[in-house]
Amino acid sequence: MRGVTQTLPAAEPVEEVIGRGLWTDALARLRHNRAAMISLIVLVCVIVLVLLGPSASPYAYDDTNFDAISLPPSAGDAHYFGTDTLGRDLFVRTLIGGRLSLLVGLVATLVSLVIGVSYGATAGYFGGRVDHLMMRIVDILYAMPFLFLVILLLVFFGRNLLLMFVAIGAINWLDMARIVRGQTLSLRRREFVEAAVVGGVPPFTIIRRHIVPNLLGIVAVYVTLTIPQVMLVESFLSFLGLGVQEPMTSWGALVNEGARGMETTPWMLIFPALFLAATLFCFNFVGDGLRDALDPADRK
Amino acid sequence: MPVIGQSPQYSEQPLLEVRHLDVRFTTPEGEVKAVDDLEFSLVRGETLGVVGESGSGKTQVAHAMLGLLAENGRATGSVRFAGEEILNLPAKRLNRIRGAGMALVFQDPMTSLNPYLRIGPQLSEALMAHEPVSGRQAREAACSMLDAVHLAHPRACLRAYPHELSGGMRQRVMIAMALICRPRVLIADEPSTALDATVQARILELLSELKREFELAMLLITHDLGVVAGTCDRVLIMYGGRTMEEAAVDDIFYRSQHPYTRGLLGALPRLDAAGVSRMAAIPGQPPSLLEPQPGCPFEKRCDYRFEPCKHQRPPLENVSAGHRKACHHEKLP
Repeated sequence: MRGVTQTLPAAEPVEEVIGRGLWTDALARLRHNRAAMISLIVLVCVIVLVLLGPSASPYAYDDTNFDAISLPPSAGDAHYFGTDTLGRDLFVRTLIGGRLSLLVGLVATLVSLVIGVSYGATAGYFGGRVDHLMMRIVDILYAMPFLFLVILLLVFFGRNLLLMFVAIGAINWLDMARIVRGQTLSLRRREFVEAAVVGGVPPFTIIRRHIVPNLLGIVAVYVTLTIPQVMLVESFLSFLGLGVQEPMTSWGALVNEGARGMETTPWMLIFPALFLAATLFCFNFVGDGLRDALDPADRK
Repeated sequence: MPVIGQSPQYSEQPLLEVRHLDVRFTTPEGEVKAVDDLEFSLVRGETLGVVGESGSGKTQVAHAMLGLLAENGRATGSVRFAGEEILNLPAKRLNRIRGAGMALVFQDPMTSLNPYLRIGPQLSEALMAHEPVSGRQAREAACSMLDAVHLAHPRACLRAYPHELSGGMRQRVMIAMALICRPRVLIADEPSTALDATVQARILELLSELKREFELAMLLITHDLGVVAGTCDRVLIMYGGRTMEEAAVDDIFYRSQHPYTRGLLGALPRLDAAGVSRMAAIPGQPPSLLEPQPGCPFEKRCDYRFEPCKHQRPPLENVSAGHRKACHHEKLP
């Protein structure tokens, strides 16, 4: 046992400590989750395809061609997914629609993330009367019929993409605020927060540096679950005819169009629906994986 | 070991002066009086040990002074820091004193550090809240502070996450954090309780050393008389939220005039005890603070109790200079 006799007299092993954060840990665990990893790869593929695909096709998303109406998919003339009732290439339209659907998902989630986290963390941290007041406001907003609100907004201000982002995001932050507030309540009494308080650190600095980073785990999970939810809402609105405006399109709008000619031109439904469903599935799997990976009790 | 007669300088104006401090909590079961008419003062360079059982209110004293009481807690009385009244100050004004004037070392180093923040930013945070320093300066200050608490490889530690350090190392980080703004009063709330015995001794040694180096006044809250013996100049014994006895450390150990203090001393394990004697314990439980008793809180467990103990609250009286006790007995046998 040469090693032991040698290490004993050395008082302090000279060793660089390399920070291995909770995120590094979580990523390592996520990597072992097969469903989440496959989903992540599929998602990346979808995003790359959506970004680069349209420029690879000779057609534009709003090019009508009355000689090629409702063609079934064929590789020969580069209509990989066929064409729609106006002779527009469905491959390009699906990908362009995907851009919009993903954009709505991300932007609206970002809106809800920013509002929800700052609102919830503030309410939870200050507690008491502030918390009561802020959460009652959330309750009141909860009681508003969301769809009615969105329809009203869209009718009043016209169909406007930006407005849709804001409307969806502004509704979704309610859930986020509740979740974040609950977590903050328990974080606030943790000793490291008290240590910062006695150090004389001002409240909003504490929220920013101590509360929010500790919330990221749960927030990250919730975000991956909100993105598909928001995309569904957008699809739903588009399906109702309240979403995007022609010739722009989204997956929801495409599914809506496709559903009308389900019997005669099934490809118009199948392809956008496939993309939408696959993306939603993947986001959900990644969210599940993240939740498991970030749960410290689940360490194997 | 402190040298008797060296540090307490009673002529000097006290840095910290607590008068008639009461802390009450409103609970569904009624009002709890956790601290009852507490008085003490602390001068520069002095260490005062606050000793008591669990629930004797010793932690609440520290929390009341620093405005950390739970929402249902209320503190009344007076706490003066360097002549300025600080009890129940609004957070904004208290923040000037927190950290820079008075700092607190927490009990459990395992939960007192933010697991998501590296040690460096966590350390320099309080400094940046108080002084307009650049990031680089703050990092340098943090590094030299880690050096002062004798952490090996301070630079590597700055980049480490809390879970990469051992309990003793984390407690050193906590102490460095408390001292980084150069406070004048350090409150250590059971700084060694969560550590094992050898680490405990080294942390206490470190605190004594830093106290001299930074000329701190220290309030050491503990339930361990053994800790007090090695580090404190004066000792305040608390029971049921009240002061039982306050005296220089030697007076407590050799000339105690209060039955509770004697009970505590009797309960200390001794190496020189003959044979296999059992440790002496104080029988009974600490009193419920829900119904305040008119008499002495220790009455039910006291071996020396007599009639007045039940009905009359013993006043805090001088036994000799700097030695006070709250007991109806003129002199204990």
